[in-house]
Amino acid sequence: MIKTRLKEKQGRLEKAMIQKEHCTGTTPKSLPATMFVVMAYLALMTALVGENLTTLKTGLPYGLSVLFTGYILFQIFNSGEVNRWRNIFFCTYAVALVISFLWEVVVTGRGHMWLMDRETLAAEGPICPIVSVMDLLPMIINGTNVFPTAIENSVFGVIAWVIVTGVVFGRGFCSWACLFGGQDSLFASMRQKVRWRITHLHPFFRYSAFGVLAFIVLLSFSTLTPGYCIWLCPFKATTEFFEINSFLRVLQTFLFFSIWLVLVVLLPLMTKKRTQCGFLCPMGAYFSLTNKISPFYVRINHNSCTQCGRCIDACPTFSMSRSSLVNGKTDTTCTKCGACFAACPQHAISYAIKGVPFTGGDHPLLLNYKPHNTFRQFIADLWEPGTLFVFTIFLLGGLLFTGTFAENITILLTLAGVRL
Amino acid sequence: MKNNAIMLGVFLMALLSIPAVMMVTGQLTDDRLALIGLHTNPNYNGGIIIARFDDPAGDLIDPVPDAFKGYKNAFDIRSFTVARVVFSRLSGMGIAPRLNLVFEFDGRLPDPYDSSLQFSLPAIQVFINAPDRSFTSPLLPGIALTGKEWDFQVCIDGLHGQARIYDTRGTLIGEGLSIAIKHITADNSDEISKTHIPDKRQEDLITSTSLNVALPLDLIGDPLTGAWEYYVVIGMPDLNSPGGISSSVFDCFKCSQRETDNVIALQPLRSGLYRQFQGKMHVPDFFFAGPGEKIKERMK
Repeated sequence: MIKTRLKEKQGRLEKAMIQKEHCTGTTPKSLPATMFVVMAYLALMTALVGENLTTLKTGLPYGLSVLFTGYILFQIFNSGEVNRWRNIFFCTYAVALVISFLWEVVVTGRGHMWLMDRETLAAEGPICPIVSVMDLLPMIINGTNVFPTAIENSVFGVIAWVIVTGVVFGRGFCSWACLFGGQDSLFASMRQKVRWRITHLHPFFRYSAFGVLAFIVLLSFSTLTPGYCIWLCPFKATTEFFEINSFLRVLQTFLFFSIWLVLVVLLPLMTKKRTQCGFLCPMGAYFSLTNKISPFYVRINHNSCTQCGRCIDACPTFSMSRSSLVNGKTDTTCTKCGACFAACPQHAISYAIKGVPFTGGDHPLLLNYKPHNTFRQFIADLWEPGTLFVFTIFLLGGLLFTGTFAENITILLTLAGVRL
Repeated sequence: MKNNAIMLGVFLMALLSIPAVMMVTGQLTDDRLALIGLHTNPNYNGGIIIARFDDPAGDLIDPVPDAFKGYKNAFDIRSFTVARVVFSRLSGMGIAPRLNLVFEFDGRLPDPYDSSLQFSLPAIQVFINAPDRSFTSPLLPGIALTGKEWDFQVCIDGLHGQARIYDTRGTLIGEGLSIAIKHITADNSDEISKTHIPDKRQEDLITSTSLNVALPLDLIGDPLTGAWEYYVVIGMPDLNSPGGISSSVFDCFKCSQRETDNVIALQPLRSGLYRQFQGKMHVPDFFFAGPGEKIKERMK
């Protein structure tokens, strides 16, 4: 009887393990490899934000922030549930940014969300990475920054940073480091079931963001003003917007707020898709172009793929199609979020690096070790495209996130009356 | 093809990493960026400067009354700048085109009358000559305009907290134009509060003060249409005079006092052709009047 019970228990454990592996879509990493990656991340983050750790006042919020992101990274590697933990991090970041921004602008700053004309004309606007796509052409041809912020506020640096990020990570930025993408991702994650299923997406919608990109690049170049910011950017609803002092401004406010309600809130809620990122965002379109150059991509293993199509349903940015399964990789709009990993029952989808043959545990140097040898497993886990990609892009996201989250902790402490 | 794309990507990354590192280490200063021709759209930086005139210190043409002896700097203008702010109509920016008149003085401007703008002195008049318009005699006695005509008179009146525009018939065509004051400190810090009267410590920090008045181009026309001329006169407010400004003149650009009749003869400051200012301008911080103080236009 005891033997029967033990067998049943073992059977349940094995079943759970298989389910876990199938649920993750990517293999969980061994504990030594996970700890190594997390320690490396924490060490790098400490070095990069170290000056904020010297006093208790800034050290506590920054320390907690770094530890939180370290915990997320640990879970990503330990559980293999890339999409789930990435989404937690991503959505938390988006909410934290809104809180931090509004606190600075409304509570401690000017007291309201609108950017006055005098501030615009005095180049006192905040820098935003989406400006990069509008600023690039005027910068190159006219030498002019079109965004109302002083050029010494790192405008040129932000543009350079966006270009480099695009070249290295492609559209991975959109799911791992974007300041605003977490908003529609958050609403897309809220419901368990899809309310409005999108079975077929017309190519117009699939590539509309490229049209928006072309339009605003031309508009910004011809008018030397940030066209997207003036007319379309929906995230002004949660940050700041131009003061409403004319009918034109009323129209513009109505437009961006409607876009926010529909593309950021309603449609993601109903369809579980990131519609703003997929249909509108010009920066996403730019990063889609750099996806062609980026060494990282998402590969579909033909040998394992049964063409069940679950990954197509799961993809939040419409970057999977039947042709993707035939081509063996996702479309150019792929944000490398890992949602398809979790959906694939065959474990056929993974991160890959162009032109680099990752042999993992079968590397000739490791063949002297037994298959389940700890050291061999450790090296195999580290020397994998997914590990390299997730570690580097999470480092980028973590750097962007840390300051924002630290500010949120400071806000909480301030509200609680705690003085450090 | 793939290898070429990767090589291109690596090359771009290497190329752009240099300015990125320079940015992070704070070496991308605006002077350096200006060397490679990078600048913010001038419309966000006070406007495209179409004219700038400097005036030497200590060239007062009339002695300052005893009551204001300690305020000599207040009547000694150091520079006058005209800048144009115009956004493309296609942009949807929603900010009306304007002409910024910027006046700079050494030190802090006095406020003996407790003005809402934190300066009561001086009162400034600018006579603007737009091409192809009419001429009449000047509004104030004792001032002769040598050269050509003038079409608009701008009265910058800190005492009354506003600027006004008159046409050649003395008709008020615009009032309630706000005057923005900006204090410049030696270290260019932002210690000086814009909304509170500076305390003594802050006063000592002020090296210069600039006043900015924004004139709607809809009222006066576009200065790029020809060679506009400006006559700048520095005087005093006068509660009893019709224009609110006394006829006393203490400083002006290119002016002299005629010995025969003691009339101040002004030479025009010509803006000439458009040119881009190559250098750093103190950014004027200016604003339109708040709610309830709309610009009134009474065009005949």
